Amino acid sequence: MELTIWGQELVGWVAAAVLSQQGHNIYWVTEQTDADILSLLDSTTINEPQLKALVQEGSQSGNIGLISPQQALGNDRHLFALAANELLLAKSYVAQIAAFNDDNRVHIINMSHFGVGSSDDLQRQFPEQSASIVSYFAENMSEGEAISQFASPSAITFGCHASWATKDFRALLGTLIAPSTEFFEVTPREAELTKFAITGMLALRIGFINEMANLAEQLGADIDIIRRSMGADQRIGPHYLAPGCGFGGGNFSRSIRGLASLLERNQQSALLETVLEENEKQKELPFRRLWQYFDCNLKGRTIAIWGASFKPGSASIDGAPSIRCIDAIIAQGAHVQVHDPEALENVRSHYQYHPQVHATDNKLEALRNADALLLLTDWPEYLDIDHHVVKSELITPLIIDGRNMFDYQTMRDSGIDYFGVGKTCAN
Amino acid sequence: MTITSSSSWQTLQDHAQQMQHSHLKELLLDESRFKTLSFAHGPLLIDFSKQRIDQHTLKHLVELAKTADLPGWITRLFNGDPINTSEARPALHTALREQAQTSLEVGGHNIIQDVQTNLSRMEKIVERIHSGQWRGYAGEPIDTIVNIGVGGSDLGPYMACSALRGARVNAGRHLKVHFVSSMDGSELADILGSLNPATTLFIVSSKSFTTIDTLSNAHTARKWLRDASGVNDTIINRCHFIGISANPAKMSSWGIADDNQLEFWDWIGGRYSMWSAIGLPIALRIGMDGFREMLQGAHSMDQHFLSAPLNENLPVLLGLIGVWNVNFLDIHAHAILPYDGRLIHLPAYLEQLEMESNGKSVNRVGESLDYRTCPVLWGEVGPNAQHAFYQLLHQGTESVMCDFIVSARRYEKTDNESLRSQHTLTLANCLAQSRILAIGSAVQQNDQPVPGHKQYHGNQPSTTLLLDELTPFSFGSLIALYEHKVFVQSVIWDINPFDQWGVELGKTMATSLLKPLQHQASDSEFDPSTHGLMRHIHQQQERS
Repeated sequence: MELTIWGQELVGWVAAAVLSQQGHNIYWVTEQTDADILSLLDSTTINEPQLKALVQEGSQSGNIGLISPQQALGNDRHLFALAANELLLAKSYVAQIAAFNDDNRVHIINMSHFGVGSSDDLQRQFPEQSASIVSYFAENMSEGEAISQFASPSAITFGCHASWATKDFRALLGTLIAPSTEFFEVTPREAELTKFAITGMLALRIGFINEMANLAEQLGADIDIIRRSMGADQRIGPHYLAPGCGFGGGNFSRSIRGLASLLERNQQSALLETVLEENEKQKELPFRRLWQYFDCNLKGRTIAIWGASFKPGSASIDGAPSIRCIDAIIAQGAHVQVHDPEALENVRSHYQYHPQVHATDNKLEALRNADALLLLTDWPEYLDIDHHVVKSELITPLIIDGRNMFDYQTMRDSGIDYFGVGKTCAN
Repeated sequence: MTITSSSSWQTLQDHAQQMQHSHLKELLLDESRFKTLSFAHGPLLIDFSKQRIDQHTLKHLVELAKTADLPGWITRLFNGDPINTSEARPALHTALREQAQTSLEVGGHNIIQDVQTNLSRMEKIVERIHSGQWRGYAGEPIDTIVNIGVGGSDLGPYMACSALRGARVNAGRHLKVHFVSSMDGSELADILGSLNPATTLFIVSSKSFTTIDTLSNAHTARKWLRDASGVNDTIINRCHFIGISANPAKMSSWGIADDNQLEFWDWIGGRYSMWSAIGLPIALRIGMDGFREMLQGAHSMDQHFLSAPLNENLPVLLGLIGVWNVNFLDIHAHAILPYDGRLIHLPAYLEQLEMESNGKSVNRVGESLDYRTCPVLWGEVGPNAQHAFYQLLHQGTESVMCDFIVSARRYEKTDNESLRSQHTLTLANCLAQSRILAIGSAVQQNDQPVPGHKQYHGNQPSTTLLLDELTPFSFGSLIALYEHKVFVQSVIWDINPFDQWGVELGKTMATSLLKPLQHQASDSEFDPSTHGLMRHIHQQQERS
């Protein structure tokens, strides 16, 4: 089958990579049809595990090709992967496709997060009597695991007003829909709201456990014990209950923000807005510890930072706690030495070689002559580290762990001033 | 020779005899009156045509100004001559808004450089607070500013923050700004309960850094922080206090960290100081760009004052017409009536500016004056005052001169029709009131007999100050206009407008009453009234 993909979002590339493997012909819409396809990947997508290799493979096998917008208009199956703020652009694409296809029946699968009701908005670009359809496919993949999640979904929520288009979509996904995959056929509006609701719920869980962690710490309790007990309760379950220094990531945060403003507008509810605000504060938790530890004066100090991406497995620093912490630390006249296995290029370009920000791909070098270590992303490679080495490299044996990677007691016993999230006692 | 014995004063007295018989309703029959008696500079138009004057009045007043050597005094003011004779210092608020690249020496030192250096330091502080990187003791960004100051360290920034709230910058939108001045701690007690100590920054402003009102509030604030945070004073001072003063040594000994000190200088009078670091709360509201725009607006008025001919010079004419009203028409009350809710604190600001500057009865060499000086000033937002004291303006026995202040344009950037029509309604009220005050019952133009209680005698003079719109620039021009107006009047009256000895004795006396009030000294040396009141207070306190 043929599929024409519009937009630059990660979800579009993931669809191209996975569906080309299924033997479909993918047309990637771009003005630069002569370009090397890999040069079109931006910094977030290029570091998504497996993605680059699959796109390259698809390109070499001829299953993924480039096509200009003009040429693409005549195709009859499209996928929209535009950014959340590109609804107007999407509308103009649909209008042009509609104008080009008076008689043809066209299927546009929208995967962009324009908000609830926007797929119906796009549908209205077609004349009322048109048989063409705009459907909505609510993906729920997370950066870092996008390929595997797209390739073997546990559930699919597909919003569509026409049975022929649903069949068309099922045919496109083919064997990706396993017998065990739950398939929900709903309206586009319902699918869009489902997408919002899932991310909103996850955000609430993270927000809640972070609040609990902060409280536990003040009351002298260990959040790990509490969350394990909570997770054992079947009504709650264990997922998304790890406290830490806040969540980031472009897609997740944008989606929550979308729902937050929907709630605010329609319900005057500040529930998610509050979660977002608290999350922003939580991102600075490691900084606040550092600040208090050094009597509110960081001038002239050097701080090591391990982990800059918003989560392990991703190179993206979009909304990452590291940015909030680095900004705060350098504003106080201190230097940072940042290590990250994937995100260093993004750090360098974000800070434009700021004289107080040193990026290094050697994690031990980041510790050298530093006054403290802040752990902000739980990359597995940090788990292997010998904490005696860390201790000997640091001027002050201070580790502030925003991801609770290490055992509190072990670290304390080896003479490290170790702080976790919800792990330290009052005083 | 005093000014009253000059021939120009005599001429004005004779002229006033004639003008006493002219009612404004007759003067306003002259169609060319607005054209000849209104003047503009930049975004400001002043209409004097509802004043009880004519072309001759202005000519004679300009002669009076020449007799008093006003041009010479203006030059001395701008040059930095020590015209504040009782304190032997210049009064150089104009230097605060001078262009960066110029120079002006005071005591062999280029003060423009100091001014610019301080502006840069201010800018850094503003940027740090706006970016959320000024952190409190817990590491959280500061989101609340409390300005502690009194008099010039309070009224200017308080008034300007309200006036310029439309020019608020996005970066400062998260900031709440409070002003605390009263010695009794009322305002502080009110707000402390609702503030978060971890995110509150106090600005302590005092020229001398000895003002008891301010320091007692600052102490209360520091104790509040101590109790809430449990951290030491070094941290509290570094994270939660900025000091602004002409006395760095006193700031240091109070505990203000060096990096948190902003300076101004003893050549700036307190009531002329909002252009200096004292204006920090303003800059926090409208950003440094907005603050600089305000300075430019004032500078533009400075240049006009310095260079425009006396008979077209806005501050000169405003000042001289005030003198005319006080000394020749015998009017001693002056109402400030802004038709703009944003200017709600302008009357209080001008009360200090005018009455503390010119509320004096001796000349520059300390001799008693035989003529009236500064009138009593008061005011209120016009539309609200219409429901309060306008009754007296229209039908009372007192002659009152009024300043109407209003913007031609407002709400232009909103699509809120309803707000725009509220502005039109406000303009209509402003024009209606000054018209009735001038013309009286005759505005109605009907021949029916009107009973006494419905008659409006009119002939109350007023000036209308019309801003194109209220922006930092036009606001700066407006305030500089009043500053220079006050100076013009001081020159005619031969007063030093830059000292305020009349407020000193009260401070000393308050200090000497403290101990008797605390039962630590005898109260027998005081007058029977004070003695009686103290005894009653003691009785009441013992009962509780």
